[in-house]
Amino acid sequence: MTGPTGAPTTLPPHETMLLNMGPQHPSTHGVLRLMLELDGEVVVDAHPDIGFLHTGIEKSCEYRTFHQAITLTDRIDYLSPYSNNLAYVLAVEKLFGITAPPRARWLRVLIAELNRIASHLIWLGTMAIDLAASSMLIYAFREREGVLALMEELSGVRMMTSFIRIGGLPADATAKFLEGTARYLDELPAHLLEYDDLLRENPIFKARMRGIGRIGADAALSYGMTGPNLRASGIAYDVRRAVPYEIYPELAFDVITETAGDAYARYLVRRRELDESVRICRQVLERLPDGPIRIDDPHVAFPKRELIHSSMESLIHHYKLATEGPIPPPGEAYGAVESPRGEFGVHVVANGTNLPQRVRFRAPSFASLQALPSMVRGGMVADCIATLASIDFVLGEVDR
Amino acid sequence: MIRVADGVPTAFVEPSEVHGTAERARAAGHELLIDLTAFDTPERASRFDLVYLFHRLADNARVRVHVRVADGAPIATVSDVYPAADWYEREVYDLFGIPFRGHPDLRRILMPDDWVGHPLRRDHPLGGEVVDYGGAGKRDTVVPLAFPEGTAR
Repeated sequence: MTGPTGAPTTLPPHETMLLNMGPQHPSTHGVLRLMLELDGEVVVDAHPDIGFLHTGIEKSCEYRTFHQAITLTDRIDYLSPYSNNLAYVLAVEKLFGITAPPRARWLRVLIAELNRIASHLIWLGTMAIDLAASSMLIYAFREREGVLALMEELSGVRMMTSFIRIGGLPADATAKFLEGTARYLDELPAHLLEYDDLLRENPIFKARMRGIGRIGADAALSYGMTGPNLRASGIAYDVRRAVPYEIYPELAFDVITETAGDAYARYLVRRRELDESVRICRQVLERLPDGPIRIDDPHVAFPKRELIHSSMESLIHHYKLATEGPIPPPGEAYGAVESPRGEFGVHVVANGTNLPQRVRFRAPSFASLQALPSMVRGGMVADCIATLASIDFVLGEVDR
Repeated sequence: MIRVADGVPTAFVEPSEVHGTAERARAAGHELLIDLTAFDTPERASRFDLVYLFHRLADNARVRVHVRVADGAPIATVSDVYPAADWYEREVYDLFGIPFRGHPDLRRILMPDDWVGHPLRRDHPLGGEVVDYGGAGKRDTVVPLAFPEGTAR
């Protein structure tokens, strides 16, 4: 085709360009490599390349006793160590056929929900800074620091806490922790409203998020998406309600859903989940029962610390558990929790020895990332960043 | 048969029936393939157990499917029924070396492309270095680990 002057009016057939994003790119939150096939600014296709953070945690677990593996689970999804601990311990407890005492089960839910608040706050801050709203990051990390301080009071560690044990908890919550939690829960909602003022109706934020990275309910399900990403597409699937664990059936909370399935819907779902987590934590603080925090079974759970110094039996049990570890009967069990990113499942196979034959971690981010190409196809490169930010993946659990 | 300790209804099927089983699960309303993984029991002739976990949203029912396959025996992919299986099967192929027949893109996913062997097999060593501390007066020696597939990493 030529125009009146003889110059061509259409471009000749052109090739697409391959752009390599990551693995050292700040918006990939770790070491995700994304190969983008571009036609100008439009993403024709995307190929995620994962595995840069593969540390062989599943293999390492096969060389640890059932107790020792707990510390490895913290490092999978390093933003929600409690969810990982809990899923693993629930699977091992199913192998043993035991359940933790009531107080431990309530406290486990309390710390898991505090952890969800901390994780969602990090997501809020990092997502905002990916869209160049840098002040949000500072505020979100300030509030998250409150949770970390509580964790330190509870377990002595800020992040890699490993505070859940087979059969209960390693120690009881101190009064200072419970008071601090109540104070934190009183202060947090006002701050969350401030963040709404910053982002929720911000025209620039909405322009960057609305209609971006859209995924329908059927597609999200077929890719195995769970958690807030799936709920933003209109499916009310939450492990806490669907396959309840611990004391969630006794608690009042809503499963938040949105229907748009875009980045803004995922923002709204996580933002409202923060409110629900506050609600759950308050109920736990009100109704927390008294009692032991570990089952009294010397073959599974460590004896009380005080007894080790006075009772020979307890000393022997402690020694056996610390060296040989507990030995579950052969079998397999799957334990799952609703981590901040979706269904975090642990499939444990025991073969009658003190070491697991197989520990498998089903990571929600792995499935969510698999759906990424279908979410960014046809969009702009800059929208790719917004989509990535809205998925809230953690490479530690994608690669394990 | 393995003891199922978590109460999830578990079916044990033949390798040839996997694809049909997945299709039936999908037709029965199990929208979510929650998990697809494997474990290795090298003492057995059919050393690998593939484990599929399906979830149905309507009544939150879960079904687990176990399949036993021998080393090197290909097994039909279910990624055409459940797109989620695409990466899961690549992971199982990468870490266990189980080939999936009909998979659209069967490549390694977590390990480097030039890695030799499949690390989650029970006979693949953990890695690291075995240190022989020797005796009094002798210097410590580091013994290189013998990888079964003939590579040292």
